[in-house]
Amino acid sequence: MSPALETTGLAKRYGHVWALRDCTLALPAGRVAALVGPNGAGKSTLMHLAVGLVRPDAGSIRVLGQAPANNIALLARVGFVAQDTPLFRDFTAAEMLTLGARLNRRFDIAYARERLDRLAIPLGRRTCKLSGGQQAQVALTLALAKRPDLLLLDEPVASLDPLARREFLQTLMGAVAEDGTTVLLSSHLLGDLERACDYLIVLHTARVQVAGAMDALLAEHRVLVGPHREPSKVDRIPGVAAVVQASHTEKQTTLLVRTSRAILDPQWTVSEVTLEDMVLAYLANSGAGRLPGPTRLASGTAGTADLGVSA
Amino acid sequence: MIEFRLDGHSKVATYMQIVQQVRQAIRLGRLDPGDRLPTVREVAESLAINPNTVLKAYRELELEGLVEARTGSGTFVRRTNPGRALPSQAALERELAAWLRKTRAAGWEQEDVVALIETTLRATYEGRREGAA
Amino acid sequence: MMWLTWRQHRGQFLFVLAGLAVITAVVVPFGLSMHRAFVEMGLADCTAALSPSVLSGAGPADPAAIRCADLADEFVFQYGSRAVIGGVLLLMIPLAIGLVMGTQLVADDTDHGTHRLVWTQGVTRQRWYAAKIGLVCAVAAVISGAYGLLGYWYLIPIARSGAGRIMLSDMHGATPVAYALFAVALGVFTGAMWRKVPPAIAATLFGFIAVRVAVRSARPNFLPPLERTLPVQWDPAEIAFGSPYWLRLNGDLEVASAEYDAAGRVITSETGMRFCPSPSPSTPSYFDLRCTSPDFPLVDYNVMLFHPDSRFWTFQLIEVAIFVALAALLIVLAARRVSRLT
Repeated sequence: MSPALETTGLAKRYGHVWALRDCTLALPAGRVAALVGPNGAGKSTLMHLAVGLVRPDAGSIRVLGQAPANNIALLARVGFVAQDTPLFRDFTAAEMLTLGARLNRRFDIAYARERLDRLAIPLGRRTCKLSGGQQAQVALTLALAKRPDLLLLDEPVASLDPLARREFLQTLMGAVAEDGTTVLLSSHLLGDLERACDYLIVLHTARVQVAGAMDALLAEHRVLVGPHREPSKVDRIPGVAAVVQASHTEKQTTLLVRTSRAILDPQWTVSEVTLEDMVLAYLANSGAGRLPGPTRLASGTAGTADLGVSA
Repeated sequence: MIEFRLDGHSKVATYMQIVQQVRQAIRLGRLDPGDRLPTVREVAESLAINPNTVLKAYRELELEGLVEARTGSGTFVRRTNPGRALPSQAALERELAAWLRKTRAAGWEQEDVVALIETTLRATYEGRREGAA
Repeated sequence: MMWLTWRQHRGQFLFVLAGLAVITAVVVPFGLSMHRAFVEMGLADCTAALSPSVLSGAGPADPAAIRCADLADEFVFQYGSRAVIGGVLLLMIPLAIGLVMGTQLVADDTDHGTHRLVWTQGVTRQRWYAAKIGLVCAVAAVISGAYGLLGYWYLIPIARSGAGRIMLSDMHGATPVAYALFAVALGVFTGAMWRKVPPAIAATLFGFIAVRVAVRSARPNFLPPLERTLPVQWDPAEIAFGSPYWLRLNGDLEVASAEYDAAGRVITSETGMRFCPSPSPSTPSYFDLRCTSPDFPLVDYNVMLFHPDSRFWTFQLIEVAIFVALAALLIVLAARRVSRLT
C-alpha cells in the first residue's frame, strides 16, 4: 500500500533561512502520526508543502501518490486545518459549512451539520462568538466533511484548555475509527499524542530526527544506567545502535539509546522509556538521530524497516 | 455496557489496560456471555485513543478466547466461557462484604484496609508457594 | 466562489453604499436646485435661442447674447460654489471604493490567515483571484459609471453657463470609472504586497492622489494645443456669450498665454494676457491696471495656447486609457504576487 505522504530530500527556504532540509519520510496510510518539534523546526512548512500552499526549493513531495502543487483533484481528498484555525470571523457556523459545500467538489454537509449538533455548537452563531474549542471543532468538521483520505492538522489544540483538547481528540479519533483516515497532527503536547498517535516524526532545526511507528520506537529505545564510563567509550556497548543522550556524574553514567538487540551486559540497568523522555532526549541533542528515513516500506508491519536504520 | 477507564500514569500499555478491564469484568460477572463490547469507534472516541489500539486489545482478547468478532454485528463475549470460572464466588463475596463492614465499624480508613489485604495476600500466596515447594 | 466573494465583502460594499447615499443626498438636491435656477433665470431659453455663429464667436455681438452672458456670469457667481462642493464629493467616490473594497480584497484574507483555509478547499488561487477581481471591478465600474452620469447631469447648468466641461473633466463622464478601477487595482496591489489592511490603505491613499495629481498636471500636454490670437482692444459690447473673449474667461482650457509687442517679441515671461478697453462712454468698471500705467510696455496682441471645450471627450478618452492601463498593470502584478504568497 503506497504511503499517504512521501518526501524525498525535501527542502524549502524563505529568504536565506532553510525552513526544511533533507526531509525524507514515508508516512504509511491509516496511521495517526504525531509531528513534533520546537517552534521554527519546520512543522508548518512541511504541512504547507503537503497541501500545495508553497512549492519546494529542492527534493520532492508526494501526497496520496500525487504532487500537491496546484492539484485541485488531490485537495478534494486532503483535509487541512492551518495553525490558529483561521475561520471567517463574522460568518456563522452554518455559513462556514456553506463555504465548504460551495468550494469543494465533495462535501457532506448533512454529516457536518449533524456533527456540530452533536457537539452542541449553535449553527446560527458567528464564529468569533464561539469558544476556542468550538472554533477548533468547526474547523475540524469543515475538514472532515470532505471525507478526506489524509488529514493534516497544524497545532490544532495549542491554544485550547484541557477539556476542549480532549473533546477535539475524541472527535478526531471517532472520525479516524469510522473512515480510516490517515492523520498528521503537529503539536507540542506529548501527553495527548501518546494516546492518539501510532507514528512519530520528530523535526529539529529543519531536519528529520526520528520517523517511525511509535510502538517500534518505544520498543527499541532504552535507558541504561551504569557505572561511570568515559564519554568517548559509550558508543561501543554491544546492542547499542546509537546513543541519543548521555549524562555523566563522577560515579554514574546514564544513557538513552537506540538498541539493535537486547542489552545483556549486567553492568547496565535497562529500563523502558516513555515517549516524552525519548522525544525530549532527541530534541535536546540535535545531532542525534538524523535517520535517513525509511528506505522502503515493509507492507503491514511496523518494524525497524520503518526506521531505515543506517548502521 | 462496559465503560473503560485509562490510567495515564500506569506503566501498562493502553491496549493491555483494556484487555485487563475486559478480563476483570468477565471474571466478576459484569460481562456475561453474549454481551456486546462497545465498538472500536465508541471506545476510541470516548477515550480519545487510536482505534488501532482498541483493535489490538480486542484481537488479544479474541486470541485468549474470551471474545469473538462477528462481522457486521460487533464483538461479543463468548457463549461458552473457557476462562477460569471462580468457584464459590457468591459466598466468598458475601463474606468479604461482611468483613469490610466490620473494618468500617472499627473505624478503619480505606487505605488501612487495602494495606492489610495486600500484606496478607502476599503472605498467604507466598506462604502457599513455599509450602508447596 | 461568487457566494464567498459576496458574503465576505458584503459589509464593505454596504459601507460604500452608505457613503454613496450621503453623497447622493447632497448632490441630487443641489443639482435639482441648479437646474431649476438655470431655467428660472432665463438661461435655458437664452442659450437655446442663440445662433451657432454667435456661440462660436464669429458673428457680431447680439444684444441678446450680451444679456445672456451677464445672466451666465450671475448664475456662476451664485451657484459656482455649490457646483464645486458637489463636484468634490463626486471626486471622492472612486477613491473611496478603492480604499474600502480594493484594499481588503486580498489583504483581508492574508491578514487573518483565511487564505490558507480558502486555498485548501477546492479552488485554485487563480480562480479565487479572478472571481474577486471580477466582482469588485464590476461593482466599481457600475457605481462609478452611475455617478459619472450623475455628475454629467449635475454639471449641465454650470457647463452651459460658460464653465465648459473640459476643466471639470475629473468630476463627470467616463473618467470616474477609470479612476475607480485604478483605485481598486491599487488597493488590491498594495494589499497583496503588504498583506495587511492598514498599510494598504495608506499606500493606496497616497498613491492614488499622487498619480491623479501627476496626470492632471500633464493633462494640458495630452494633445498639441491650438493657438489663438486675441487683440488687446476690446469693446465691452463684445463680451457676448460665446465670443472669444468670453470663452477666454470661461470654458476653454488655457495651456499658456503671452503678450506680444509690435515687433513680435514676447513682453513678459509670465503667463498672461492684457485686455484693455477702447475708450468709450461705457467703460466697464473693471480692466487691467497695466492698460493705463506708463511702467508697462505697450502690448500689441495676445497669443493664447488652449484646448477648446470641444476636446472634452477626447481628453476623457485619453485619461481613461491611461488609468485603465495602470489598473490592468496593477491587477496583473498583484496576481503574480498572489501566486507566490504562502
